[in-house]
Amino acid sequence: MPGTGTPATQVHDNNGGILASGFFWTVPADERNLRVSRNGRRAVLEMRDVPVVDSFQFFGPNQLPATVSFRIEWRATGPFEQRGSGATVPPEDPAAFLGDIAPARSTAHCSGEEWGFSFSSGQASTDRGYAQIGRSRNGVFV
Amino acid sequence: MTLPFSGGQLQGLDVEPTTIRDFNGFSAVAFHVGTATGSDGTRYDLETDLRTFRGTYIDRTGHRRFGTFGFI
Repeated sequence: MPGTGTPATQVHDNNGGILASGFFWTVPADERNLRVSRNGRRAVLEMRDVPVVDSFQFFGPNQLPATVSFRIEWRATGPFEQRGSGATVPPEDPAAFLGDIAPARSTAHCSGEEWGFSFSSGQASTDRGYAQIGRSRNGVFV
Repeated sequence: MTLPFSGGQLQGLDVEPTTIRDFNGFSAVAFHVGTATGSDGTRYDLETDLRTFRGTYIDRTGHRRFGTFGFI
């Protein structure tokens, strides 16, 4: 997660790696890790000591085992709107999904550990980034 | 929109939010910007691409499953 400057000067890149299941950067979570409000406009994901790798740079060739912990909160800031193009575009198209998505604001606290290094964030936010929340479907569900 | 440190281009609302094919459910996406303090005493710029997914999906063997995931 932490880095400095452009990718060329990035010094750490903690990511979920590629699992035997084929998932990339996508790690199984316990149902209790994620709380979603009844109306779907607020969510909190909290995970502790998740095994990841530090590849030091985006798609870097070297990997060091690491763990990260984080608490992320999302709050919708606008209405849900229908998004995506579904089956009207090829399956590999980024718009090959259908969803009801709302813009959101998110905050996060992150920390991580690996051999010889650890970090802890302040409150990071999407005020200079981006967040969204909603429901979506793709593939056979479109 | 562009992330301030990496220069990464951010996705919009019309880009597939999940990384799971044959998925139907909840998803949330966040690209955070902030700072972190390292054990070496250095203050680092921090950018994230953190997501979560919960729903029904079809696994590699063709079985329908339900799960919760984090994307790191």
